[in-house]
Amino acid sequence: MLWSHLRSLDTSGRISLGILCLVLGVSISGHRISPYDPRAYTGEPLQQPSRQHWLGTNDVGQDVLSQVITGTRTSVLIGVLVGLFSGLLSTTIALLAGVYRGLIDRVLMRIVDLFLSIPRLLFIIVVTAYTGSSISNVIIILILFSWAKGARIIRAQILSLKEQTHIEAAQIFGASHNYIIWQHLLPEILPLTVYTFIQTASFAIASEAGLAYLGLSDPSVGSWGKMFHDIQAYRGVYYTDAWIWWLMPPVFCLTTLLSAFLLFSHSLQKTLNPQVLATWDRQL
Amino acid sequence: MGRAKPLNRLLEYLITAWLILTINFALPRIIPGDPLLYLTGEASGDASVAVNERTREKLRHYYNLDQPLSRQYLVYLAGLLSGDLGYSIYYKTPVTELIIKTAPWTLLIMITAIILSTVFGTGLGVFSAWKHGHRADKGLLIFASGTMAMPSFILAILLQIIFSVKLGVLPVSGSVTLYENYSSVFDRLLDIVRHMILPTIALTAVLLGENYLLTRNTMINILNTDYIFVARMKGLPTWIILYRHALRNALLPILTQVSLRLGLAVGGMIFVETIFSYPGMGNLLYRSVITHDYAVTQGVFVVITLTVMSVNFGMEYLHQCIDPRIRNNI
Repeated sequence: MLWSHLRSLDTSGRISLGILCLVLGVSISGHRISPYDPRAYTGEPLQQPSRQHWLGTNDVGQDVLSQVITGTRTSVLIGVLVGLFSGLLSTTIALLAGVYRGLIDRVLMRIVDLFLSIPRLLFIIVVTAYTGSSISNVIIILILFSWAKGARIIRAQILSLKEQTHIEAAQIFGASHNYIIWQHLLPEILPLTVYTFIQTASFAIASEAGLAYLGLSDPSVGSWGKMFHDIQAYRGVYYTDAWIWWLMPPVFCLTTLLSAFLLFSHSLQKTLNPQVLATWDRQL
Repeated sequence: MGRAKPLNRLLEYLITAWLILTINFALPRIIPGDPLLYLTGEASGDASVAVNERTREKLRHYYNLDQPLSRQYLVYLAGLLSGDLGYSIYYKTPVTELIIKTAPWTLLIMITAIILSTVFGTGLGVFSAWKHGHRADKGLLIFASGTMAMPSFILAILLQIIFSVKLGVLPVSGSVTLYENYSSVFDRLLDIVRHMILPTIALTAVLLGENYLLTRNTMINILNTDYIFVARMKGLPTWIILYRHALRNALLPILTQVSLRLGLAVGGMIFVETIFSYPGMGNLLYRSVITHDYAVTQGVFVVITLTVMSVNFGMEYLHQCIDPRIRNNI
């Protein structure tokens, strides 16, 4: 099911999938390909790119390339974890609402509406301010504020699936809710779940980078956002040329990764049920 | 999609507003530890003020923390109704006063950005829909996707480096030049405009892509309908078909959707104001989080969330009043 969707991707979808796989590869093998310990002081401060330091060094002489690679790991970890758990949450809630309908559906959808109407980033910043910004807190908060979109869209798909004859037939033959969920609904909503996973992962990575930039994410974890934060704390660097090889690598990585997510979800969208996505567009 | 009657909608919004106020009340109290520690900033270890036992008792009494929860809650709601949002420990000023001082700057760049992104987003969206499938459409689509992939804070940093630091044509930060003696009102206005250009561009970019995509998709659907076909058959000029026939029907849903995306702009606003040290509410919020000035954090949070929700409700209500298709389509 999912395989056929991936095979019918267009060119930009395939390229972006390639980029995503590359980023995943870098993050998995990170500690092996990283030339230095990202925290070790391995050179003179603010060096230009050289054979020893491919992307130069930062204000305290740490290797920029190693930091970028560590940042990749952090971003991918956050994207995958938030995407996975948030996707699980949206799917569960969508199934509860879409299969059982009635009061539970109405209550759940009101909660979804609530989460969709609030300014997410503002909530995330304020809640982090209270709970503290350890990496696990940040991940939990991002999950909490990112499941609603997916729940709505998957529920719409379930409702349209339930009207199809083969599922009606199964119901008439006395299939239980459980049977219908596992045998019919879950396999058919899988591509849509992947779609929401991609969107959530991309949101989580961008938000974490933003939080880290503001200094509201875990300061002990190296990330691209943390690099922006360090640069911003040392603004004088903008008046030399050093910012080009210090700031631009994480900027390039972050925007490339987010663009890949965006292109991939656009291509995937084309292979999905267009009607459900149209409903979704109107509802947001 | 069924829509509820306005009165039901109002009720829903009121319930949501009440929920948000309650979350705001509960947040400092459900986190382990004495809420007073949050109020004085001691919870984080780097307090901005030192408090002795007597002051502590006084503060506890002032914030009604010596009262039962239910009473605290009522006092909190009553305070909100009378516009009392507490007292900033860092600025030593009532929070309401701080918000009144910063809100105009935020409104200035937010409203400008919303107008710009709506005008340009809609204009480009109509153009793209008209050229649907052509090279111009594809090019615009890629450009819009690009702006959506770049987080607002990255764009803001790059704009700041290029235009303020490297080229030196626009001011680096702030909303006015400090200690400047203006020779005329015009000079002063010019100074304000020069300071708001970069923050506004960064904010506009946050909304532009969304507006463009929304308009484009809505217009592509409308351009395929029969009445547009008839208008074409009549030989009407293209711009009349596009703007008088098609866009007129698309505009209201688009505007409603735009207002629902206001929450998105708020996130961008916090980053943009922080980066340009623009003295608005986003920057105030950031400063309060960094200095652990929790009364300010909560005040700004409540004001922004309630404003966003009121605008959303207002737009939705207006939409229902003006557009008969929605009113009858329950």
